[in-house]
Amino acid sequence: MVVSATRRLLSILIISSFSIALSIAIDPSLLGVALLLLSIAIFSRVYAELSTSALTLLEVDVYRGVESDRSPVEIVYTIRNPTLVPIALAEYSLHYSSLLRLVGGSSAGVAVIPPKSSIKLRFVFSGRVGSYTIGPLYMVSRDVFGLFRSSATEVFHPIRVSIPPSIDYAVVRRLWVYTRAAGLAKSRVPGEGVELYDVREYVPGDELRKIVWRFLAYSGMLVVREAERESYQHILFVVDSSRDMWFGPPGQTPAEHCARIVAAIASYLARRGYLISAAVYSENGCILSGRPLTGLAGFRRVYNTLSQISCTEEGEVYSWLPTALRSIAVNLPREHSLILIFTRVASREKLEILTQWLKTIELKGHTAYIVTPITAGYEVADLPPYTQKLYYIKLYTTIKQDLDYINTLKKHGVKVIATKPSDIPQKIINIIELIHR
Amino acid sequence: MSMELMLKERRGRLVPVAVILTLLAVGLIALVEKGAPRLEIPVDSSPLNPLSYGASILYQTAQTRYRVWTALNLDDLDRVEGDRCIYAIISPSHPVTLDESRAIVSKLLRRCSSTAILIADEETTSNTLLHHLNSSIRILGNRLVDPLDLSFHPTATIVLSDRRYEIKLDLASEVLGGVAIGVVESAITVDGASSLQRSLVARSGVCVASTERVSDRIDVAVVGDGSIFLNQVLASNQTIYRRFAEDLLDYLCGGSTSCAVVFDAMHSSSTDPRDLARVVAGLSPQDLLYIYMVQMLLLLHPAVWLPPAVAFIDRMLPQVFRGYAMWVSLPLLAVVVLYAIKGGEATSRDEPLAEQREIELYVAPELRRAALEGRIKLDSRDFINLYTMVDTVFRGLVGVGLDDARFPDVVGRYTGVEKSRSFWKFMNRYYRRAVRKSLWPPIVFWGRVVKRAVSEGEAMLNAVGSSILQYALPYQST
Repeated sequence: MVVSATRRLLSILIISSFSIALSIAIDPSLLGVALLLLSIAIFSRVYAELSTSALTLLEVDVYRGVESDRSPVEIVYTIRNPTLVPIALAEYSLHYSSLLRLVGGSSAGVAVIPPKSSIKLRFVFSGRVGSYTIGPLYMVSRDVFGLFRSSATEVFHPIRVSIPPSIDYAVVRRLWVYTRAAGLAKSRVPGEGVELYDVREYVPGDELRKIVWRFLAYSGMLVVREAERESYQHILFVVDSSRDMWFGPPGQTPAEHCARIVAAIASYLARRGYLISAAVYSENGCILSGRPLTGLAGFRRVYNTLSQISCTEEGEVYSWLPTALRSIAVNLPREHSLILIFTRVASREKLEILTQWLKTIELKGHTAYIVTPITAGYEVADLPPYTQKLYYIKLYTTIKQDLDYINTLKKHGVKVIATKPSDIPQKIINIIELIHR
Repeated sequence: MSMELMLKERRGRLVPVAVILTLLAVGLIALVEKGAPRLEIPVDSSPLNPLSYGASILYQTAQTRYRVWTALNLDDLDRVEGDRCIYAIISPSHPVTLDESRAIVSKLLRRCSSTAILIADEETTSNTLLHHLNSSIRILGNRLVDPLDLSFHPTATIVLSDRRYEIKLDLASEVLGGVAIGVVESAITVDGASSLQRSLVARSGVCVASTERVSDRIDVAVVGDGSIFLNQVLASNQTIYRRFAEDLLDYLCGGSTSCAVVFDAMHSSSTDPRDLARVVAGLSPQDLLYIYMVQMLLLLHPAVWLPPAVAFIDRMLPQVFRGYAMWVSLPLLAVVVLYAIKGGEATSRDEPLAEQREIELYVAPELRRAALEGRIKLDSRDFINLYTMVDTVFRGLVGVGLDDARFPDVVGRYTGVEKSRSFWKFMNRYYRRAVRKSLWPPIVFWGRVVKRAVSEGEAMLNAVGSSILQYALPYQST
């Protein structure tokens, strides 16, 4: 790491030179001032070298407080100075994904790190679903007069923070209420369901409402009703997290809405015993949750995969898309699967690639649906009501284009779900039921 | 994911650099032509002196209560304004002459309805003024010694109105005449340090402060010790000195709210700022810092160093470029120039670290910003878009579009026929104008028309349970 002189040093040297010149020409007592200034410069240089060495020896730990996109993400760097040299002026700057919003702490500032001590730098970001890079943390040391400075040093490497989507339990409950009333396929396995499977002896932890009171009355034994576990259909959620899906206010983009919707549906389906899996694709490639699983294990895999969605700066060139879709197709099970692709068709090129892929998938005996959000609707979410309408009119061409692509998909025989986010879970569950029957 | 870093935006230059440089050059030439200024800085008990032996704290104290002036010369007294004026002379370095005394008193009486003269001095330099005032008070110029420890710091008891102050003096003088307000209970009076050994007889009740009314308009107050009003005493932890100074000013002002306090600075000494450290003895760290700052300012100001520097170069150049000196000076000059060029590369601007920029992605970011700032511009195309959207929603909900003549009757069931007819006519009239099927109305302010269409259209759609924002919903399907 290099210590370099700043322009301030040049000023000091010029003043010293003038002082020396004046001490020769006018008054010898001014030589004292010149010597004082030069001694300050030398002291500053020595200190800058020492503090820069101390900067390279800093020990840094990081704490990541991540829950879900509904709660803030806290990143705390504990920086320990193990040397005997105090770092009086340590300027820091934290780099992070430009899509994140810093709501607590300051991304850049000046810290004082005493010798043999530690300081904490706390940064709080508003949560949003996805995987983001936080860091590197850069630091620069200066002497107290700012005559010398070190080059920018990376004191801690970048870290990857994955923020999972929150599960809207109100949606899950609504789905439960809705589907309880419908008769579902019998799986002949005890579990969650509405059809009676058998009765068995009560064990602690069973719900009281499941106790067969009549049986208790005549036999004196506590037994409980057991329902039949419903379904064994494999459902694959494919979430497009390319740049087309990241338009809109933070937290309100199609990609984030889709992640939350999938999380809620997956939570419901996992409890119903469905085989579930997920895939996330973007310009960076494709992430798969692995083989389809039921129950909590399946849900966890889907949930973790959803927290991997990420946005790249590049967009609208779809050369990567066929490869990503191919890797999804390769990993599909032989049995019939229902594939739900959460995407936004933003160009003809994308439309054609998707249509082609869907035809191939259906030929293999799978059923696929495209679930597409209407982008402009997300864009107006945080605007005042009247401005929303004016902006909506201005976006007419974009909206129209999106709708035209949806119509084109339908003309090509592609099954499409295009509706507002709150209605999507219900519609998807309807489809699952229809397929099941 | 790559990151975008925020770079400091360069500010636009309102004034070209060349103009600034020209003005700078003109200013420097003018400085050289004018020559070096004569620099003086007060060093003794002047109210302008912030060093330990100055009286700037007394000046500031008075400033918090009254209007305050500093008299650097007699002309300054012509600017004084006030109902009652206090003229304060603190330990003057130069004697007050008879002519000055006459001028001071006459100017003060001309500018103020009444005057009080405050003299705090241990020397006889102010007695001429007292003589001119026809006052009986005189400062003897001797020194009072405490008989207990034989120090020059006896304790005086001064009574002002009904307040009593026990104040330790420093090299104080005895005061004769007037009404004694301050006495030292017991003191040995000496003419100088050598006479101390000869006269060790203590006197009691030695007067150190007196007041006198010399005429209807003039009061005089004399304290035989000026050091109790100096900065080093008033800035000390003992607040009694500051309280006494405040009360003395209040006493002399006599409760007048329009009292003016004039501090005499014309009898103080001053010196060249470069000689400050040499001239002033017993400096505190704060004094040294002050002197250092003053010298730095002088060094930085080209008015101080540029004229002598130019004169020096003028003197030296013929000698340097003559004979063997030229062979020495030219390589030296080359070294300096080389250092200047290479040194310029070695130093760099101390830029702060780049800060992270946060971005938001939108389909039309500029348009969105304009919408948020309320400066969205609307034209005929927006009207056509709105027409299409409203038409689509109505077709989906009630089965008739805006181009259908049944629209007023069908939608009128929800909104009232008159209202729906008016809206229908309005929309179709401006739609024809927008698509140029009609030229009427000839002048259209599309911004107003679109805003009206949005308000009315939204009201109509609300009546049938929808909204413009629901435009895309008829397309929803599974």
